[in-house]
Amino acid sequence: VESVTRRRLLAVLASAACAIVACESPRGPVATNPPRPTAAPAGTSTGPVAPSSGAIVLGMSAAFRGPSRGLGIELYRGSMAYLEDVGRAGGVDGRQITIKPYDDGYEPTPAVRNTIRLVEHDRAFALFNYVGTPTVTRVLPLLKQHRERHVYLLFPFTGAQPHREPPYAEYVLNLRASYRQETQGLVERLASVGRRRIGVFYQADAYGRSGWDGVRRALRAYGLEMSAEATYRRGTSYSESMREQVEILRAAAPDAIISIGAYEACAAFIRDARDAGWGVPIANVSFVGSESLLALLMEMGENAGRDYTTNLINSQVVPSYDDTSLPAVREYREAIDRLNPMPPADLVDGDYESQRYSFVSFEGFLNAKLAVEVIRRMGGQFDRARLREVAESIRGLDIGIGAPVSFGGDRHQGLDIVYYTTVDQGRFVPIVDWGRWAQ
Amino acid sequence: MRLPKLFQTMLIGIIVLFAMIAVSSSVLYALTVRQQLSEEYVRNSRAIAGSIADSSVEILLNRDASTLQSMIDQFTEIRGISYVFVVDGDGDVVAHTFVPGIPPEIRELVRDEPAPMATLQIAGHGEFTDVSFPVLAGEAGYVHVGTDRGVIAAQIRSAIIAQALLLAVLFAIGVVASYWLVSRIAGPLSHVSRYAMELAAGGVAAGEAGPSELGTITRRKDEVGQLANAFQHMAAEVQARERGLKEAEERLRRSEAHYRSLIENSSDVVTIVGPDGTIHYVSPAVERTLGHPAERREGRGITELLHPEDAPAMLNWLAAIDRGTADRAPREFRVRRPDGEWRWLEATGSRLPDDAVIPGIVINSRDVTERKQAEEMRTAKEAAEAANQAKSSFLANMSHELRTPLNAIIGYSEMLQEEAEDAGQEDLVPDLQKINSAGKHLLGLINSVLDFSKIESGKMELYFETFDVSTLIDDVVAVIEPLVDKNANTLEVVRPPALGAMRADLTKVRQTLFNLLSNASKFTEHGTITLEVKRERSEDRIVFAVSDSGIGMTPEQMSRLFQEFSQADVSTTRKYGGTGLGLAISKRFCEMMGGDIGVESEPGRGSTFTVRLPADAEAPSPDGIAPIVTDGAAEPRPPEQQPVADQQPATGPLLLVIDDDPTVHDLLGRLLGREGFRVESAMDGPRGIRMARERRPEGILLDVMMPGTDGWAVLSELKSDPAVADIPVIMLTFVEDRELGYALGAAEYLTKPIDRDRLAAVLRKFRERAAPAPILLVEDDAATRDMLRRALEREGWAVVEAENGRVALERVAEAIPALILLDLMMPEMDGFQFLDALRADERRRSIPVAVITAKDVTVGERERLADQVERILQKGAYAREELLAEIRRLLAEHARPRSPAQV
Repeated sequence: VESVTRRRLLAVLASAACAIVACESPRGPVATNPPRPTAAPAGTSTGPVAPSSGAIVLGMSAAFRGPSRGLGIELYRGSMAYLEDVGRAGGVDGRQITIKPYDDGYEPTPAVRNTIRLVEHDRAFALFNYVGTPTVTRVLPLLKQHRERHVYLLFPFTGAQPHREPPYAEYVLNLRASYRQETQGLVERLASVGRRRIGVFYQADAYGRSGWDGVRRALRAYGLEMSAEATYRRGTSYSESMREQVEILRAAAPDAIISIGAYEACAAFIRDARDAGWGVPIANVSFVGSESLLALLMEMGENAGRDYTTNLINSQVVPSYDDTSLPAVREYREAIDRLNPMPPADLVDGDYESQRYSFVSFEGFLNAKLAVEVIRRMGGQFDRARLREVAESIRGLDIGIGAPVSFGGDRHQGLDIVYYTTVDQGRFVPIVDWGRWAQ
Repeated sequence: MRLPKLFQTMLIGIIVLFAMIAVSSSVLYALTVRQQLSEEYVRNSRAIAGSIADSSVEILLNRDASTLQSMIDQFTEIRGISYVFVVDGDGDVVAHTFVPGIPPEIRELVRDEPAPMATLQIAGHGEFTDVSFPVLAGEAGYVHVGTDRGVIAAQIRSAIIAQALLLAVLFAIGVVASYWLVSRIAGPLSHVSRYAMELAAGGVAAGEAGPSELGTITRRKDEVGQLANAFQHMAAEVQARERGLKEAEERLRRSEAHYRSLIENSSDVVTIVGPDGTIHYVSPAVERTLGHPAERREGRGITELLHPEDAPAMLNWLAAIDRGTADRAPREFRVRRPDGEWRWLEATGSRLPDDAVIPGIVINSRDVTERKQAEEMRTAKEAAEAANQAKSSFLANMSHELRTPLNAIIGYSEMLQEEAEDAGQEDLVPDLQKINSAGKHLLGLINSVLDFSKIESGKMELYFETFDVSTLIDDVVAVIEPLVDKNANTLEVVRPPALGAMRADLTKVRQTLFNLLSNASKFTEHGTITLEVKRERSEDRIVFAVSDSGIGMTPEQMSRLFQEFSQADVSTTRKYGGTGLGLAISKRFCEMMGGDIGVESEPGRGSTFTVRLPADAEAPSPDGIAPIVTDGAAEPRPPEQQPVADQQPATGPLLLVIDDDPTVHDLLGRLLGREGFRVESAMDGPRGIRMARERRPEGILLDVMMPGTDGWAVLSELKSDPAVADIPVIMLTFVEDRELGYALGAAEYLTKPIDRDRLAAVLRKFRERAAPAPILLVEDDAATRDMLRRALEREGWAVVEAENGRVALERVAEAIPALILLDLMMPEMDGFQFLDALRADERRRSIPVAVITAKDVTVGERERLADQVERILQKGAYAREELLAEIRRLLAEHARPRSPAQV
């Protein structure tokens, strides 16, 4: 009697939850509790068959806490800004698309744990929006391990090489350009203005090494060697000193610094360099989270009575959100302003102040847009095994940024464009003239 | 608090021990840990380096630094691994974990082909062990893993600190524990030892301060407690011994003084002699006893004063004592006084211990000359008495053998007389009478001789009992009357109405009176014999005076009168017969009972014999010959009943008198006692009813006029209670209301003043209601049995015979007899055994038994029989008529009115 009652009660609760999700998901930041309804039907099958009903869950492990939380949160916000509207519009083939977010604090071990959980427990349709190189590089063997389940990682927020090359490239679909492309672009542009002595400040991990390697390769193309390098430990807060690194690099008297790091450490480096009276141009790659970096520099500059924002170069992998000529930018800005989505409260420490617009959230928006397009192209047959095949079939897709997105059997990166920005009056603006850094 | 010494010592020991442990274990530990950690780190490093090298070949060849970095990053998480870096085939560091940069020392290391293991100092970071592992045998590069030796040192440090802390804690615990242990042991121990020292110094008396302090310690269960206990006991023991010693000394001193004074003052002569007879000491009594001053005898030989005949015996004895072979029996010796007189000394001797003050043999002698002489005289006397005794006992033993045939002779001759008369053969009667009287004479003679022999041999026993004097007189008169009539004499009995009771040997008194009366009858013809009985209140004596108007005696005759085997005149013997023992026996009897017999006589004017006996003859007779006295009244009377009169028989039917007037109780008690009833009385109705229920009397005499519950009410209550309704009630009253009495169920109605004869008649009537039952005759002698049976049947009684006790029991089982006549001496089962068997049965206890025996019943036997039989009749002592009268009387006494329930 009891088991029957309980089973019935569960069924009632489940349908009630479905109803709540169905009516509330268009409104507000409600990817809060989506997994239950999706998990329940998925529980009947362990095979590669995608959920046949309920929401389609995209599993996201990212930094929602700690020094790199801005990346995870903004990426999530951007994605949700798109997904909520999709949901409001009835989803894809009647299926809601939600994100199940987990915090990994930008550390590999929690990322691995979250991935297992998302695959085993949450029955995620695909992994999505992972943040960071050290985390993703450690997750990759897991995807290979579970290849018969066809777990694909869609559009991770990292430009590192491992998931763009064998043996892991087949499990990952990237939207953004690689670090190698970013650093190569930076080296080329700096070299073009005579800045050939390049020092590298990088995070002592796979991400940093990835950027380091990119710089090294680019320099080698010119027959140049890296003039100096300095590392910092991942997770370093902006309150810590980077003077040592500044001195190491400065000793080699480089013409420019390419910084491969997270925004807090990079902000600290910039601050300490400028504080040391070293005005060398410092270039950051997209991963830094430009708005987060800028916000910290502005704040610190205000406190110190200095301007830390000069001579900064940031490479981006999406267009500027200020370029409202682009339809995607307009959609993004409209959706963000209208919805202002936030990750679940239990995932975020309370004092985070979100940016209105950011390259990161815009990238999240585009990621979501592409993901929905891929899902839509599955034509109602939500079989995970078909995901790669469907994605690879995309050719010249216009996602509203003026650059077509194309995938293919050997092409698992949708975009190759790198955008270069600098800070002007507290805003990132496209660099139109590199001559200002000529030497 | 001062630390116990033991603890101080122990503390030093503990500190030293712990210090040694701490130092040695720390050193050992540090060395071990250092060794192990170093090895472990190197091992780890090598393993890591190897694993990276194995898996990074491809990556290195691909030149994918990011993947490589990702791989080596994992290993920095392992404890002790300080850095990992990979050098490619070109010698470039393609991945490393250094922050903020690769130290110059590492760059140095990279230049050359690296050693598999190297130790290097990195400025500002300390000492590292670098382990390198080649990739593709060094072609693709090298993997380096570095461990910080400082980590090892730190680990050793922290381990040692932890160990030191642990030891410190253990040390503290050890100190506390040992302090606790020590104070638990040492504290009490110091108490004990202090106490012991005080004890040794003799300053402490046990039971003072010490034990109270020790008290708590002695309650402990451990060894210290035991020690303290032992100490306390020891102390107490020591004290007790000292005290005992002092006391013993004192006792010894006093004892010595005591014994010395005993010896000095003793009438006995204490002599200590050597085995050779030399006197070492002699007590002062020697002078008193033998007239020899003590000091003059010491040092001399003991044999000097001895009778020459006794000297060798003395020396032998002394030698025997010295050897320890002498027995304890005293020896007797003759010793000469200075005046030449020989004195007998009785001596006991024993050997003094060798360590005695004066060693030797102590001889204790006393003068037994007088005793010796007395003994000689007594020996002579006893020899004479023994001869006399033999004679007496011969006579006593003859009694049974003589009396049994005589009894038959007398009985048959009497019976034959009657039968001859009945058969008309009158001519035989005189002969039979002669046989009869000759037998009787012979029996009397034998009895007298036997009595006298018993008196002579001191075997005459007295059996004291309380009896009514008037009843005695009546008995005697009844028996003597035929004899009185024989010589045409008349007997006058003069007695006051209330003689009361006396306590004496009834048989002896009766025999004495018979003797006097029969003498009077014999020596008087056609005269008057007077028996005057009175009670001398002043001295409480009973005086029996037997006077006759016979031939009288001369003073000379009177003087021989009470001598044995002598009558007043030899001629009288021929004329009157008799043994001449009667008066002598009577006199002895009276004397034994504390009285005497006197005589007054004049020839031709008759004689008066006067017997004076104490009313309570318990006192020994004045002449000093102590009679053997037995108290016949030993059985106690029930105390709740007022003893109405002393003259009541112990047995007999019980009557209950209910009357408020005590004089009625007294009067009826006497009257009814004489009739053979036992009487109990109640002073009021309720008590009477209660007693009736408890005692179930044979009859009740009930007064009508009583305060409280009157006689009528008592009568109705008695008759309404089934338990007592069958007891006949005789109303005794002044009130003439016969109708009411009978209506209420009274059996008889008598009016006061009580008419004796009428009451006796009424009571007799009740007695005779008993259905005739047979008389059981138990007798082994067929002749006697036959004779008795015939005599009894002649009287109309049914007789059942039994030749011994066993058969008699069978007869009793067949039918309960009205009376049992029992011989004592029978084969198979004698009279005593029969009685025991008979009385063992509750239902047969009430059967009256009369013993008829030719045996002389001893006092012991009499006592044994007392509560079992009603009468003891001596065979031959009674004439046939007397016997029958006795039986009749017994039957009347026991013929109870039977209630329907009893039938």
